[in-house]
Amino acid sequence: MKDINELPKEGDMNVPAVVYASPKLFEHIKNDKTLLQVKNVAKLPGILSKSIALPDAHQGYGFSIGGVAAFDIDKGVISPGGIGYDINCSVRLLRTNLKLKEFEKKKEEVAEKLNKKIPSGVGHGSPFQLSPKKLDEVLRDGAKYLIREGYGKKEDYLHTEEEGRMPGADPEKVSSRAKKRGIGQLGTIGSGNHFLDVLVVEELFDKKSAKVLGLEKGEIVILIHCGSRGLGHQVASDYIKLMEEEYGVKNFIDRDLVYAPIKSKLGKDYFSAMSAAANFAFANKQLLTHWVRENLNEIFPTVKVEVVYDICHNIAKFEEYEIDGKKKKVCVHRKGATRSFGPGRREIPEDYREIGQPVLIPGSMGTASYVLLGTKKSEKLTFGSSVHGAGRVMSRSGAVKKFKGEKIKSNLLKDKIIIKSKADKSIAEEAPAVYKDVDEVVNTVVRLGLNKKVAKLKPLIVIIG
Amino acid sequence: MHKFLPHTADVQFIVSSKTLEKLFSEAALAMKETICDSEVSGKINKKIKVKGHDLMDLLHNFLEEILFIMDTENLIFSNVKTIKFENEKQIIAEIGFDESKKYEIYLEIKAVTYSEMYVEKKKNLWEAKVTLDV
Repeated sequence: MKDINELPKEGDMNVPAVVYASPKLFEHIKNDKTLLQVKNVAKLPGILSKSIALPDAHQGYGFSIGGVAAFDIDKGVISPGGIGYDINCSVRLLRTNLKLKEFEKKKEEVAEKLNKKIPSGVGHGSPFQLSPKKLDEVLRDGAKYLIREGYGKKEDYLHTEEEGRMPGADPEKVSSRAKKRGIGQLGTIGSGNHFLDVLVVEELFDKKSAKVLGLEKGEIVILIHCGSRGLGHQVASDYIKLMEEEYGVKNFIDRDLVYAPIKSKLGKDYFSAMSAAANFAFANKQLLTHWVRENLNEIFPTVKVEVVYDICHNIAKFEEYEIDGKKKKVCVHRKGATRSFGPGRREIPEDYREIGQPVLIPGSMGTASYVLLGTKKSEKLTFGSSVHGAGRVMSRSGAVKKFKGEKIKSNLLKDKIIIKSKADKSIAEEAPAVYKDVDEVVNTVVRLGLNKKVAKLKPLIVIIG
Repeated sequence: MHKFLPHTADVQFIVSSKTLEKLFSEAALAMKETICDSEVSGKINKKIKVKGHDLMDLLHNFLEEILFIMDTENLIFSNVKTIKFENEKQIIAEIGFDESKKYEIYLEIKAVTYSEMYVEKKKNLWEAKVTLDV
C-alpha cells in the first residue's frame, strides 16, 4: 500500500519501523533525520510491535516529532524525548453560537480585543496570580481545579482528554526550578507555533457526527494551541538530566534517547512529574477558555462558548491494546501525535462514545484546520494514534531568509484573515510554506483508515506570540 | 563568532572563539539573538554560579541558568560582564540583562538541549554547537 513505508528489523532493532506517509510526504520525511530516529527508537528495550512515524513526521530529539512508540510495562522504558520538552502541548476546540455573518461585522474588534487581553508572546508573564500552594493544586488537579475555583464548568472537563486531569500527578516530583518557571505563566499562550485562532466551520463531511459534536456550517469556532509553558520544559530538562546521571550517557544509542525503566523509581517519578506538567497545560487552556468567554461576551452579550474537545499531542499514557490476540496494558509515547480512539472506548466522553474520539488537526497559519474522528483501525495500526498537524519542512532561519512578516500579513488579509502577532519575525517563521500540506496529511490518515473527516475549518483571525 | 545552522523545527548554532570565556559569552549572545534582534543594554546585573561535570555540561547549565533568569524574571540577556572558570567544573559570572518588555521578542526558548552538543578545541580555536528547543 502506497502510504505504508516499512523499514524492516535490522541490526540492533527490536522491532521493525513503519513510516505512514503518502509518497509525496515521504519525500519530505527522507530529507532530515526522521528515518534514522524512527529506526533508533526501534532499538529501545521493551518496545512493542513497531516504531512508528506518522505523515507529519519530522526530525526531533532522539524521537522524531510525529512519532509513536509503545512499551511493555515490565520490560520497557519511559523516555522524556518520546514526549517532548513541551509536555502536553495540546489543542482545544471551542464552539460558539455565533454565525459568520454577525461575526464578520465585529471581526476587527474581536481581533483587537483578544490580541490585547489574551497573553501571548514573550517576556510578559500572566496577569493571573498564583501562590505556590495554588500552583500545587493546579499540578494535582489541572483543569478540574480551575473549574472548581469558578473558571469554567463541568462540561468543559468532560470534553477534555483525561477530563483535564492526569491522575498520578505528584507536585512533589516537580522541581522548584520548574515551579518558578511556571508560576507566572498560567494563562499564557507563548510563542513559536502556538496560537489562538478564530475560525468558521466551512464544510461538513459527516453531518451526523458534526451534530453530536455541536458543529454547524457557518458556525464560529476557536482553536487554542499551547502547552505546559516553562514548567513543562523544565520538567523535561530536569528528568533528562537525572536519567543521564543515573544511567550514564554512554549507554544510550543517541543521547537524546535517554530513558529509565518504566518500573524504576526514576521512571515512576518522571511519569508523576510529567502528569503534573500535563495538568498545568490543561489548566492553562482552561484559563484561556475563561478569558475567551469573558472577552467575547463583552462584544456579543448572548454568546455561548462550549468545549468541543481538548487533545494532547506530547504525552505518555498507559493504555490497553490487543497484541497477538491478548489484551495488554502498555505505555504509549506520543510526540507530536494525537490519541485517535474509535467508538466504544471508555476513555472518551460518554456523549461521543458512539462516534469515536474527536481528533483536532490545526493547519498552518492561514490554511484549513480539520476536525476528524478516531477509528478502531487506528487502535490496531498505530496504538490509537494519528497526526497532530501539518509538520514543518523548513527551518526558522530558512523561513526568515525567505519570507517577510509584512508580506505574509498582507497575503493573509487578501484571504480576509486578520493576523495579530507581537513581532513580524514570528509571522515569517510560521509562514504557511514552512509546513507540509495539511490537506495531504489529512487525506493520508483518512486513506489509511486512522481517521474519518467531520469538518473543515477556515481561519478568520490568527493570534500568535 | 557564531553561525546559525538550518534545523527544521528548532534552532542550532555553532560558536567559535579564541578563549573559553569568550566562547561562553558568544554562545549566550547567540542564544539571545535567537529571540531578539535588538541591542540590549545591560542595566540589570545578576551574579550566577553554575556547575557541570565537563565543559559541555557547563555550557549547557550556563545557558540554562541564563534562560531560567529570563523566563522567571521577564528579563532579556544583554552581555556577559565577567566570567571566571574554576577548574572546568564551575563558573562564576556576572551577567547583564534588561527588562524584556522594552524590546521586541519574537520567540521563546523552551530548553537548551544536549542534542548534537559539543565543546571542543579545534587547532587554536574553541568551538561549540548548541541546539535550542523553541
